[in-house]
Amino acid sequence: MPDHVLELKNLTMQFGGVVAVNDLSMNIDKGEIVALIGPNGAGKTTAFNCVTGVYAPTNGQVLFGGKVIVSNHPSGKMAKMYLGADKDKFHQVAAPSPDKITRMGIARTFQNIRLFKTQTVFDNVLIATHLHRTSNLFTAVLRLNSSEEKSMREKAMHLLDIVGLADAKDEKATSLPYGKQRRLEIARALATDPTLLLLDEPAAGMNPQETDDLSEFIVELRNRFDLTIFLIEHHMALVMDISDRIYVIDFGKLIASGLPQEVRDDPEVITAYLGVDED
Amino acid sequence: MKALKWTGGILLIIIAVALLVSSISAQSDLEGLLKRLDAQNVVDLNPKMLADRDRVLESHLDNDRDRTLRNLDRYLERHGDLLLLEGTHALELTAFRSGPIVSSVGVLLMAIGAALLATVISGKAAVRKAALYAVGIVLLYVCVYVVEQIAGTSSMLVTVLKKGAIYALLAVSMNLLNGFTGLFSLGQAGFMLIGAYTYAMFTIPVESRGQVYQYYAGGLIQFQMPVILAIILAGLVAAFFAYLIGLPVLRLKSDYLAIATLGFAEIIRAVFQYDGLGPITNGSNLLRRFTTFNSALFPFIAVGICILLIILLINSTYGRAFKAIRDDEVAAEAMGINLPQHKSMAFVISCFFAGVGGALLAMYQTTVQASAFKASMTYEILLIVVLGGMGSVSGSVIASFLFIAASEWWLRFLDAETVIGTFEVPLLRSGFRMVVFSVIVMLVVLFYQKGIMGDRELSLDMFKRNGKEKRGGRNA
Amino acid sequence: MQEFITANLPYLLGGISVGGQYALIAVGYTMVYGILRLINFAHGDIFTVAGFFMVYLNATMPVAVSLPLTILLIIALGFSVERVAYKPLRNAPRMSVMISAIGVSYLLQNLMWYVTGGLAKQYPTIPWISSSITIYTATTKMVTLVTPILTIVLVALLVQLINHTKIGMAMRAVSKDFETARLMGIKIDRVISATFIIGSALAGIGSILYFSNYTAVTPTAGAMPGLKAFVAAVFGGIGSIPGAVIGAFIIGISENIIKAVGLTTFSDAFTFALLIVVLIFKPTGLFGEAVNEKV
Repeated sequence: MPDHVLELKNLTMQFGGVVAVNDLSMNIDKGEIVALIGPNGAGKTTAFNCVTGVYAPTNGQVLFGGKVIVSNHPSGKMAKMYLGADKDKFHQVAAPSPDKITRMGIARTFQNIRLFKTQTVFDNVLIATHLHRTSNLFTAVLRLNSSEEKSMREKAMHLLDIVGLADAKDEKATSLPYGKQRRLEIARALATDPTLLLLDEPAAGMNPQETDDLSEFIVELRNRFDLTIFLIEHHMALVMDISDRIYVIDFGKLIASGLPQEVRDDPEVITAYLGVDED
Repeated sequence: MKALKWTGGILLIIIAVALLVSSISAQSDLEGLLKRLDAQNVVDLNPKMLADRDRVLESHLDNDRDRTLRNLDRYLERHGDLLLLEGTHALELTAFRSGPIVSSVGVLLMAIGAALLATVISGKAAVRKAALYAVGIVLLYVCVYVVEQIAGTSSMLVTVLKKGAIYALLAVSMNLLNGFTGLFSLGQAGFMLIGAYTYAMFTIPVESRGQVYQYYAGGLIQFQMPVILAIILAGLVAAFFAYLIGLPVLRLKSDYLAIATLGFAEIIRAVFQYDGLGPITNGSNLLRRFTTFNSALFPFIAVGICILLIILLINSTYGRAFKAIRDDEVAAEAMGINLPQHKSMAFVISCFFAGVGGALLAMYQTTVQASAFKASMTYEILLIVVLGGMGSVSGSVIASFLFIAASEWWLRFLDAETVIGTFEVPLLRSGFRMVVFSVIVMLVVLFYQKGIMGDRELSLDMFKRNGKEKRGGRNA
Repeated sequence: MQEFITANLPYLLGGISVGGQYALIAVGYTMVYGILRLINFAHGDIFTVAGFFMVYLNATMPVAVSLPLTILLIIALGFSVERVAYKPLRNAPRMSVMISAIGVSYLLQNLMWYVTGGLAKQYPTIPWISSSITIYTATTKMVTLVTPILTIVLVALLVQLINHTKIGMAMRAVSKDFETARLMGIKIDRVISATFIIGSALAGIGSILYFSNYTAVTPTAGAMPGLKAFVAAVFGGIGSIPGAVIGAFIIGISENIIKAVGLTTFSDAFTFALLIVVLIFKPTGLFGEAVNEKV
């Protein structure tokens, strides 16, 4: 069996006395679109942040293409405070910074759009090609890298074409309407040449028409760039429509997983979303 | 059209060469000219006249143009009746007097001609633009040179130009960090100090060291470096210290970074004044007698090269990464930009140029003393950056010249007690200039937060676009 | 032993006294930072201006009038600086406000230079606190003894004010969460003004104590004590009042020890070295709270 593209092993993130992600294990295979859903505050974005290196998890591991990229276990003060499980399962410590993880091939978008605000649409994408540069400071300043610069620009333009923002390339990124800003974030993430794309609520703030377009667009991207996609989303229609598999978490714990239909009919999921009848 | 450009270009270059050759020959053949003026061969008979003439030639040999011209005027004035000052001789004299201006016009024409030829040969839009910029830059330098020739090296205008150019570099280097990379550092004065001292320490002539380092038996350093090397070394030493300081400090956020860099600047100042390092730094005493510059062209060329490099950097892929860090660190990191590496790079580069600027400032002042590089110097440069606009190189340059001109020159009258008729103008006395000046600065900070340029740049496109808007309105 | 004490007691006493003066300035820094997240670079200059107020007022009136009047005037100055230079920038980026503070500092320094003609002004002798006193073997001024006691009393009062009055509660709320406090109907501007009033008053008292120890005031005399007081505030954990006070005493005493050892050139540098060490190993200072950015 080939390795999973992404695998989380007993991932736990504890802030002080609050366990935001609790013993989360899951996996994603090549070419899949997998959704992580759950009520607000369930720990979805925290899980993303652990995968992308923004936070070092308290315990557990993240494997990318079969290799451990992130790993930690409770130590020091946390060893005494730790409330999660599998305290002594892992011994390795690895906490690469987000840029290193991006260079490995994991790109992301943000829940609360984080574009480079003073830059144009085009420059936003162009900046994201910086990580694969072969030029150094001197060749770049003295303009000895013109062929590389040209290919960077072509690539950025090509990506803007694909997301349908080529016409807006010289506008300021923040002057775009919301939906287009989200697309721009996706284009920017793609410019880093990822094999795994993490989308954090890509449909937030979109109207139904835009959401429909987005569904198609995500599937198209997957096919076109040979991507694996991991997304967080509240928009059930979109999730059910495009996901190959779904994981559901509540209070940081995995409560269900499986095909869209299975998850939809799972009583625990329904309870998590609708609440328990008190009488 | 193409033929026209060809002929125009070639013609301009020919004229330029003619002008250059004539002015250079007029410069070099002063002796011959003086002989020709003395048609009646009276000089050798008149000892007083001979002495005056020799004084002219002597100062000419010393390459001191100002003195030569003064001596020449005196020679002609005293003995004009014995000399032949008509016709071609008068022309030759004018050619000698206006030599620098003629040759600079020659250089300008040469540049225009070359630019014209370059555009017809390649025909690319990019080349056309570059040619236009090149001509603009040459024009600027020619203007500076001509102004200096006319107004004199020590005139107020030229003083402002010199200091303004140096402050332009200091402001642009600070802007690179604060405006373009979003790292709020207040260590500028410290790195300027390192640059100024490095430069000064290595360019004092060996024979003067005994006097300068009089309390330290001539000091430890017993050699003298060439000026250019010493300036580069000044930048490198500042950059090296910046690298070391950056390792711990650049992890700090905004105002903590500001206060930590401010602290380092103070530490640097104390270290350089430390008596124990006296054999190297001369302790808290002045450093003097190092090589300085005379003409405003020197700082203009040095600063021009540095600012050009900074502009190239800002518009490179690294510059884009810096701006990304300024806009959103988290997103920049998620796009694969290594934050510590890039922040350190920006800090080191900025400090390199601060060091170079410090060296130039030392040359301008002719003496340096560590105690002058206080936090208030950093504040002054920061205010220039703000006045010009955070994130605008041209803004910083414009603001530097305005700042220096206003504080050193235009507002001078506020410092003088003035009586009009019997009415004594109130408030005017020493110090009032800086009060008015700081009020102006405050007004800009409060009501015109974006500064002169905001984050835009002065460019040819800007004029074109403005022109279009005025003519046809914007096509949406 | 006897000799050791004789040699070092003056330095220790001086350190405690200077520490108390730094503490009074540091409280102003830390309170303003706690509420506005602003390093009020002008605070050190406010402190100096207070010195000049005292010089000029005392020339024409008795101490009993000039002393309180100095404090009142410096409160007015602190209040108006906030209103004129910081309030209009309430919604601007933090960096703009900091730059405005630097601008105010620049303006005040130039103004003082203008008024005094750049000359040092003799600081008046204030009866009783300027008089000499001998402790054990060291002769010193009364102010050396008064400062730490007065500092502790004033800070204790301030802590009471913050913990037990309505305006104190509002201050705590605003420093925890500016926006929410505003939404909850707290009159932000009043809280901020109160902060500046308290800070300036303490700086005024600190100024009287500080300059009584020296003979003269110059326009830049306050710059260095101002910076050091800020370092003290950071050292103690910015936003924390007891932290600022403890930090100030530590800095005051250690810088005097450095002088006693004979490294006077490095007494200023030491303070900043201490600052950098603290920022690197415990960026939140001794008593500060960590704040995480949400991604």
